[in-house]
Amino acid sequence: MKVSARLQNFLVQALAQSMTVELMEQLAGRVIQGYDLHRQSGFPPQIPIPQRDAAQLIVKDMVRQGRLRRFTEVLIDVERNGIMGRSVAIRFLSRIITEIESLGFLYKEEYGLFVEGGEGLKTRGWGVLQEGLIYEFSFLRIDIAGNSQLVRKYPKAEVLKAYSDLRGLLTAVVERRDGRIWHWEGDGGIAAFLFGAKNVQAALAGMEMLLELFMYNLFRCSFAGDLHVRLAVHTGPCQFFGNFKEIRSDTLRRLEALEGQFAAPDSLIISPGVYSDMGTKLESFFRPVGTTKRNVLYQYSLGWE
Amino acid sequence: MDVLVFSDNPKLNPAFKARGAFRVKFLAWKDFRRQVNAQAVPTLCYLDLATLPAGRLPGCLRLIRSCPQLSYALIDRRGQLRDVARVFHEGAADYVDREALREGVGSRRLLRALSYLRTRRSETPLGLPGITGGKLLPSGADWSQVVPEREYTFGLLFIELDGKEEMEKKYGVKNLTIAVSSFRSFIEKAVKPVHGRMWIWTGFGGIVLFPFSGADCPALGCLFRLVLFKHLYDIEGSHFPNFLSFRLGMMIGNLTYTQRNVGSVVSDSLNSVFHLGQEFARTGQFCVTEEVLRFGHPALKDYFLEAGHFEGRRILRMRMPLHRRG
Repeated sequence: MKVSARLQNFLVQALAQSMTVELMEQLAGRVIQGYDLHRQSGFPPQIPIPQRDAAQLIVKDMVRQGRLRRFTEVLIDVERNGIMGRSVAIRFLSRIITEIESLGFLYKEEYGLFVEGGEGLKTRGWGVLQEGLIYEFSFLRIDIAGNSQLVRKYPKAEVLKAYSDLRGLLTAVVERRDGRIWHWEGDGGIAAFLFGAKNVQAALAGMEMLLELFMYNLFRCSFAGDLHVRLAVHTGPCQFFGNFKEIRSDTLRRLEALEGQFAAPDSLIISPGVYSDMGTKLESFFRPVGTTKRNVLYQYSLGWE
Repeated sequence: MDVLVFSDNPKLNPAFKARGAFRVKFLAWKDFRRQVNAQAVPTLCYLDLATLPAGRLPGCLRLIRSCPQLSYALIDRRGQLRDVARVFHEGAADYVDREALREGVGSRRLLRALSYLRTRRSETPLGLPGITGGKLLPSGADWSQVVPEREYTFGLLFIELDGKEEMEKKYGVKNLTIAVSSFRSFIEKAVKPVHGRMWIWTGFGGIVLFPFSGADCPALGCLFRLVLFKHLYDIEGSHFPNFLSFRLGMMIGNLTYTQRNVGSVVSDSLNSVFHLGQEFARTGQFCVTEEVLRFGHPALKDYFLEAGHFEGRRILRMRMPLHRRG
């Protein structure tokens, strides 16, 4: 993230005019573990550091370590929830948020995070994840059923167009719920969800995708028959890499098995771990189906009266 | 008007001799999808069955029907179709066989096809209350041509939440106001893409007006979508703790459009749509008059069932999607 001098200036003023040096150091420590102002500044421990110098140093360190957004998230949290039962009013906070948002990020109240937003570039890591770290995701996998028959039966350009339409639909339902398309390979793909009620979001994206496909078949599909898909949602840990090919994950392998072995065409299958997060309203849409040796799976499909 | 002839046989070209107002373009089948999607003006597409791969016709028709500005006609020089009348029942504007090709498709024939299309599309909806002198007074594809205090033909939608008495008892005035207001926003947002306008709000529902061009009724597809996707709103957007149920009734009729004192408007169409929604439609149902379905997208017809007659009109109701188990 390119940090403007104006944004840095707002942050320095916000810190210097809103809190003590001790509190600044404490908040910086939430972002950079063991942060020590005296060590960073070279001031001897017995000499107090002037407020403005402390603020400038902290902001400089945050910029250098690429942690400015995270630090701002901490400031927002402190302003909204206080610290140790004390409320802290932070000056210029709304301007700081606006500055960061102008760089293509969006502050998500519900997650307490800045994520990539608006019309800007959307990366697999939401602009937040760090390479090589393990996170708990919910994954949605989609596969176009009968791909080889379609490829044989219709001209290549027409098949590619239909698949690209489908990808567009999937991207819309996934990104509307703060998910990201991690992978697309012609006849199917994988989407990841990380924030908030991620299992609910992934399941809803899958359900909406089935309905969107129904509408697509009704009004737009140029094939003589309908397009069919299989969908599955599974949750679990996964090491994050910006390059999808580098990702090796048991969760993704299990997801592929669920979709390939248990999802019927035009249905969404979810694993028990996902189902347990559905809540009363949403779980009424899923019925238990074909079990593995250990688990019951749950399925949603659209039917008509 | 644009006329597109889709065929891989260049020998067909001399048969199309139209001039003047008709711009005829000959295109190969490989360009079909791109060209169809690119057409922004009224266009008649002639489809050559002899060079169209087997089984591809339904897909092509589906694409054409999804664009209201497009009409189609079939060229059947090998006599592949046995039931020619069916071609017209399903919406074609013309059917050109070997004999007709030999005679040539000139401006006169194209004009006849156009005139047939116009007659079929602008048939005055039968039995509509409020149609002055039986006249259709199209309000247009959007609101740009609508002048307040003038009479037009509109698509009228009645929408109302079911079980309002119970909700009043259960949720309390303040909670209910918030929840109902979010429901209203949901409806307004849903009808916006087809220029629907919430015209009257009665507390738990209201009347939405859709401009009606006399050629088609895109509002039907929009409302079909509203019902199909409703449960996602229940889970993600609704402020009500339970699943919502609402009734929808839609018809096409005339009324004098006004922006002031809408509560005091006297109109047969308005009365009729209120009756359709309140007296005929049952809990959770979406009922439409025959005319709405006739002007709606043809693909939707399979999703509506006979529901009986009401105030002298044939009513159909949407088949309900079954999302929930049990």
